[in-house]
Amino acid sequence: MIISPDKDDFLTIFHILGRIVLGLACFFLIPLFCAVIFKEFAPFYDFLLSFLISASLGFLMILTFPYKKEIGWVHSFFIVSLSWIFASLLGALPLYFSSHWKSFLDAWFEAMSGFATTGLSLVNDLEHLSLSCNLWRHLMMFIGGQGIILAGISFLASTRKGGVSLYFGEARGEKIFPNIIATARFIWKVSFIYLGIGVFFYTFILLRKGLGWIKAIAHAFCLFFASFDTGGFSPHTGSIFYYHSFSLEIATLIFMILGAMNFNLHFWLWQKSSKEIFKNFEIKVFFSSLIILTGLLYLSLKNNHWFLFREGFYQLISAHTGCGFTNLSFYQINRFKESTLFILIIAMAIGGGLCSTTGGIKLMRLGLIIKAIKGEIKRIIMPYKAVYKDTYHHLEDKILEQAPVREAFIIISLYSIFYLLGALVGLFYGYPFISSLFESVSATANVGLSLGITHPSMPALLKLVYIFQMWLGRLEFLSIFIALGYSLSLLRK
Amino acid sequence: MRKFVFFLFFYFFLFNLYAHNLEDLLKNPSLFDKKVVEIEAEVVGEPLKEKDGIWINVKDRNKDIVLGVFIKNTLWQKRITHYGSYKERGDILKIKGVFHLFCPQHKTTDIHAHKIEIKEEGFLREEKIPSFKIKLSFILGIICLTLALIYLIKNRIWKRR
Repeated sequence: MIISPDKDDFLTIFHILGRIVLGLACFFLIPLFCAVIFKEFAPFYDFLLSFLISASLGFLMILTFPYKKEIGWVHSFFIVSLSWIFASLLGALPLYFSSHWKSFLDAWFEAMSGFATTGLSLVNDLEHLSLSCNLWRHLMMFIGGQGIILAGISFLASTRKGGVSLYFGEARGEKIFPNIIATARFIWKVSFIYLGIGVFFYTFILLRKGLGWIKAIAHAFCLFFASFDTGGFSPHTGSIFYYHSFSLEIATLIFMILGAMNFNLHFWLWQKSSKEIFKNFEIKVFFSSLIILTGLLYLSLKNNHWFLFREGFYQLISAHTGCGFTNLSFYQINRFKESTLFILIIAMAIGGGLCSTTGGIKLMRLGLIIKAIKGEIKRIIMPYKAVYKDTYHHLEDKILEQAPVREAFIIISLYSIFYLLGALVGLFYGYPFISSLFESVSATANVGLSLGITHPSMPALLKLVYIFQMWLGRLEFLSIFIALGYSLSLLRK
Repeated sequence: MRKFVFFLFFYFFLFNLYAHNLEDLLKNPSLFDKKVVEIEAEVVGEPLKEKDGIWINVKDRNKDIVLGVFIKNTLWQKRITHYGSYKERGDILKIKGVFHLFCPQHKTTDIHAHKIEIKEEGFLREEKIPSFKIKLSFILGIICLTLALIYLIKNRIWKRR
């Protein structure tokens, strides 16, 4: 039997959404305040307007739709799915007002790319974009990376009762503490500590490069949001290539990897045992895939070691962690051989750890599937009556069960289908298959590396397809599918 | 004499290619690799320090294409006054130098400048704030405050109950 929603369900859903919209409106105050500091008055009005529109909408929704029911699992999936749409539409407002995006669709694409921590961009003339607007682009990645709902759970008391379902609805596979508020606050705590460390190091590097204090700090914040939240936007057109700094490349590599690590693992390393890093299943899968892919990359590039790092390894880590930074010019990436592009596609498709800011299939699921296949082969080889049980270590020793393998298989299948569907749409518009696949995987796995298809002049339908892919990929399908099923059940009534 | 002219012609096309903009240069980078090129582009961002020189980034005048230009300390003179940003249109530079698709020194794509000339001086960009945005902010401000007040009053009544 399918649970069919009634009027009260929708009133509750839109009431909570109103609260989330109100919370999001508050985030506009950060770039608004920065616009005052940087003396950027046109962007000041853009952010003021965006704040007022969002706050009014939030109040209006709270007042119009009363809170009628306790939040259940199905409500949560609906709230999570819609909150990302509301956030991206409202987040696009200041971008659109700035006139650096050709249409509202382009601004919406950028905002969805920011919130989903993808990093694909449709901005025009980024070099002349205001610092406050640039900061907003990067701040969206921080908000989205941490989770829009996570912010809600941490700060909005009324969502506490349905917090657990909201938390899981936002594609977070694991809790850190039994209490969801404590989990949410721990994730924020970790992020803010890394924010402090990251901004300090980035500022130091940028000051040594000759940037002024204000610009160095502003860029340090942007780079941290983009690297730790594996977003991939950059304050300049050339991404990391712009800075011509080897130390910055190393620093971004470290924060990309930290961002791609499971938050549960951060907790374990900080508060329990640092030995976990050597035993953890996800870390083992990450390094195994990294070694294999680096080897293949070496064969594919056939350059000297320096170029292997600058050309290949940086891109590989960026792709694997779902960040999307690049230290190469756009034309250099375009000159990669198909084999090199294919290696990057595999890295992008895999992604990082569960309960991290990365997209893609995720290391845990890939590892579980490989283990299940190995187990199946062993079972066939072993004597008929032998009982075979495989184990893996993720925070504790676990027996490989059917349920997580089945779930991993479903998610991997869904990702693969959407990777291919996006590529087919690209093909339909006349782009080469490898480029279409690269861009489609980059959008669905929330990476942000591009071969040039993502451009303001690309077809509007393709922009919509990528927006949909970024949204689906960030929420890992389930929330959106359940929300769609919930909506369709209304038609059956 | 004919041989000499042929040699000059041959030398010119083999070792010196003049790309007028970054797009031409980067569309066919292998054609220009390790050759002397001359481009016109806007200087953006800021000068970035390097061990024995300075990096500047230049942007194509029409397209969103940026490339790094390395200038040796001996050549670097602080003549560039405007760097492209939100508040400024950067100086338009005429740069002559060697283009490297994979620079052996910096392991990246760059131009090692031999000569830099300021073709057009940059200027401060004027900020334009449309009056409708100011008026709309005022109207929306009143609407937002009214809604916030209704919400607060309603919340208090609800709490008393």
